[in-house]
Amino acid sequence: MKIHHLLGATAILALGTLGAMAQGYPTKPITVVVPFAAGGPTDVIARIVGEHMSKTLGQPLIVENVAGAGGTTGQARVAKAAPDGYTIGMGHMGTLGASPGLYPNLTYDPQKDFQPIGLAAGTPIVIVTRKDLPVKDFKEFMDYAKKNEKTINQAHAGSGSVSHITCILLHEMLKIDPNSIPYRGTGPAVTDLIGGKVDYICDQIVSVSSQVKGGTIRGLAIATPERSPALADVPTTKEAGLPAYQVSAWNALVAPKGVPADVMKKLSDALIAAVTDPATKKKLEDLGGVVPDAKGASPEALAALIKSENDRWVPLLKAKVKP
Amino acid sequence: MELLSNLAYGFSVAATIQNILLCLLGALVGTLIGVLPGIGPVATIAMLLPITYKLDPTGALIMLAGIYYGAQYGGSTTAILVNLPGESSSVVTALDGHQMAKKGRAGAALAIAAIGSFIAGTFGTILIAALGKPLTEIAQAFGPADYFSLMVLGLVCAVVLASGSVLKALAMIFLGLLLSTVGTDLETGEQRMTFGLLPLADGIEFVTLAMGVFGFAEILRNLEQEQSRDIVEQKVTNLMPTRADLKEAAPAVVRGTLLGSILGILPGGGAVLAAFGSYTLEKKLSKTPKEFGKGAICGVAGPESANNAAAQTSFIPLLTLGIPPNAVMAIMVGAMTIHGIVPGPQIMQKQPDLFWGMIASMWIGNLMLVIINLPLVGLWVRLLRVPYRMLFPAILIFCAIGVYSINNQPFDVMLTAFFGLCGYVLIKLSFEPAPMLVAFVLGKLMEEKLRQAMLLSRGDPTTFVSFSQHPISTVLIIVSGILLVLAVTPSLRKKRDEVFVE
Amino acid sequence: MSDHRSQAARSPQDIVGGLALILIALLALYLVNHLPASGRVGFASGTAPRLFAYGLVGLGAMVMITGWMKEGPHIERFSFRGIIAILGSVVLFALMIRTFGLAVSGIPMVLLAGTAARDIRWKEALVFAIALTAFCGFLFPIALGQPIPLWPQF
Repeated sequence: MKIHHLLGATAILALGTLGAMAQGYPTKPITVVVPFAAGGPTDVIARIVGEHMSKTLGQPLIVENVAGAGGTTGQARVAKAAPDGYTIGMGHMGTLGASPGLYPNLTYDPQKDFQPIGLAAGTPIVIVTRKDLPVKDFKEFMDYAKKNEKTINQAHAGSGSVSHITCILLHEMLKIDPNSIPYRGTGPAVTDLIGGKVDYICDQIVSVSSQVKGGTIRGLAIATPERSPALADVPTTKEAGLPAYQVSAWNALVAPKGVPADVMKKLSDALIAAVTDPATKKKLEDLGGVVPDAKGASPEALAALIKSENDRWVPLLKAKVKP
Repeated sequence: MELLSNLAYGFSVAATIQNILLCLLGALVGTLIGVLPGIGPVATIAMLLPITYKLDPTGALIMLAGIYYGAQYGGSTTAILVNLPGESSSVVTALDGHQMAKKGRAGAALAIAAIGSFIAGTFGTILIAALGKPLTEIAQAFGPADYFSLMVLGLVCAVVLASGSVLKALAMIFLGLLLSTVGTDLETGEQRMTFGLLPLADGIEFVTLAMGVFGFAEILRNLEQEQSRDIVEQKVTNLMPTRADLKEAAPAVVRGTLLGSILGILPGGGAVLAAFGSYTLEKKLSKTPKEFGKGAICGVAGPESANNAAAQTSFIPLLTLGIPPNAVMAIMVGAMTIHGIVPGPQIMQKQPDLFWGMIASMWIGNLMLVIINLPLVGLWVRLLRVPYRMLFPAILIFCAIGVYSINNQPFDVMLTAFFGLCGYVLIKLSFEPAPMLVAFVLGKLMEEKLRQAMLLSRGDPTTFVSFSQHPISTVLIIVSGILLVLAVTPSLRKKRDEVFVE
Repeated sequence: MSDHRSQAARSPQDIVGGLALILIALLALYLVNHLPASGRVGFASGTAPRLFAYGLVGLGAMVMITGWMKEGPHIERFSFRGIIAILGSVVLFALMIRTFGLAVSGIPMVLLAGTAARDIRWKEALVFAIALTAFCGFLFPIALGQPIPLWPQF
């Protein structure tokens, strides 16, 4: 009897919640799936952007960390989520750009299974070396790496990680195949770089900027067209002699396919309002993020970005990384 | 004294009424959430972070410190009360702590853990303030080869963890090592023993394994024992440790603190190694090693102090290098970056108020921990009088929610149930799960470091014992060898004796 | 003395345990069979699992052998009631949580778990299940803002 009553009451409550959903979106908290663990760069960006978006939307954005399999577990969850606008995802260069080249059993298609909301922030890749590597600048580094291909050690944060694949691209451009040492995450890799156990890493600016500024490692080049205010002393790859090397671990919001257009519009507007808000923008830039303008944060720009990134990474990784 | 003036400066930043209240509040909610069985420190901190977002950076950091210590201690409380270790280092606390609880001495175990933690925390704080920089350099000297050898030493110590058969403990270590290799290969990205299941791609989560083999299996066993089902078999004696307890535990606290402070600066397995290194040490030094595993107070005091000292000194790599040494610290870094603080080598010079304020707030956090928890001991002990038929469903639902919240994946919850079954079978066959869990934690690091060292030496296995290249590694390997011989000899002798008796 | 050795299974715990470990190790060896056993620096993806599995086979065999040599306790009876109620309730929770939410899945979970205790009092168990679920529902999704579904999601 009691169970019966309770189930009835629950059903009524549940129906009430469902009924409210149809009216002016959003009427309940929105879940942002972050496909990485709490505390990482993507998580922090999602929380900073989400905080401002919740002001515009009038409902909290709750971060749900679904880590696993290089972020593809969380990204797959977004693809399968109900297209009601209450589950969106903070995708990433790896999960949306490179994953089809890394995971043959991927359950989603970055271009077909999502509707783009917009780019939140790019986090440029910086090439950093141990502080006593005998090179003066990036040009010398390229020569050094070519000459010492057999003895030089590159570290990365694990197979398929941003630091792994971005260095694969670098090696492809330099036509070298050096020894690469895998670590479990960026932290231990950078620790051994500081300790001089390995020679260089390609990684997101936010993971290395404070160490470069503190002088425990050296930043040789940043892979963006312009220098980053967070690391103003580090030249761009263009200045340093490898202009083709342009890489950023961008983070972008996507929704599952099938979300109504008016809901998408609200989400996109809220994102643009967030990234153009001076305070939010400053927070992201302090971390080394490259914050898009209103046009750069538009759904169209993101759709184009996902396509161009797929074209760049998938063939390269299929050839270079055997799963 | 520069140190004293720096510390005084730190306290002037941290010790405002508002900040102390924030710290107290943080420690309180940290304890209250952390004490829920199944909600380990990582989950607790992740859950409570958002409440600090609205504060100014200094206030937020101080509250975070409170949450951090509260969550850590809350985890130890559940380990002692219901045998549920929420993180790797409290596996060791559970061994004797829960046995003490069963004997009606939960109060003494909790109090000695709190006191030991406070002493260790205080020492650790002073160490950070005084020797942060040089200690970082020591940690920097550790390369992959040295780490690998340290893990070997750790595993040798794990043999000593067992209170029963050494052979079976060794078998459990190998089982733990084998389980640690499940998941995506770090170097090549190949799937290993995942049965094609995507949720296993990142390997087995420590919490799922620990909740299963410790928590669920323990519940299953308790339910079988008709008479002694309620956790407290005997009448609860004193809530506080007796004078004799304190006298017995004091040297263990000192040794644990020293060991923990040293191992804590090493990123990765520092706290785990410290906790059971201390356990091993106490067991070896004890006049009554047979008591270990049956409720020896030194088996709680030593590892808890070591654990907390290590938790303290693990701030060193974070503060001086900006690198989070473990999962908990990674979340703390995330929280700091949200407040616009990117921890790193320059923080000490550029933001001295923050640096010294944080160190001061660490000590305040430790103090709050004792202030909150000593009075709460009575409450926790009373919780054990809740009839078991109500206690265990509550434990189960908290565990299920706790495991779910790690990755928000139902699969992890199912896996915990599976490990619960495995743990139950292990109990029935008289295998002890603790060495397996320790080996599981160390195994991941061990393989990673081994392969890094082999890649760096281009495949030369003598790199580990080459004194000119890796002196630390060489020494550690020699020490492990000696310890292993010492650990195996008595059991060999015993077996021989038994054969002779036959 | 000699008739002792001819006796069957003197320590059943160790014999079954050793055998189980050997079987687990063999399963692991089968699962990593396709991975390379050694690579260009000696170690490859299949090296460590193989080493650990071989070690486990050896130790499992030794546990078995000591089981033959030494007298040991018998294996206690397994409580299937406990296994079904405790582990079943956890599995039930896992199956229900994402579709039905905490509010609906918590109650049957606590009730099913409760049946593990022989002294279950149904009225008390039901009230307790509702109260506990309400507490968890309030604490995690509402007070702490955790992304755990509270209500059914259809």
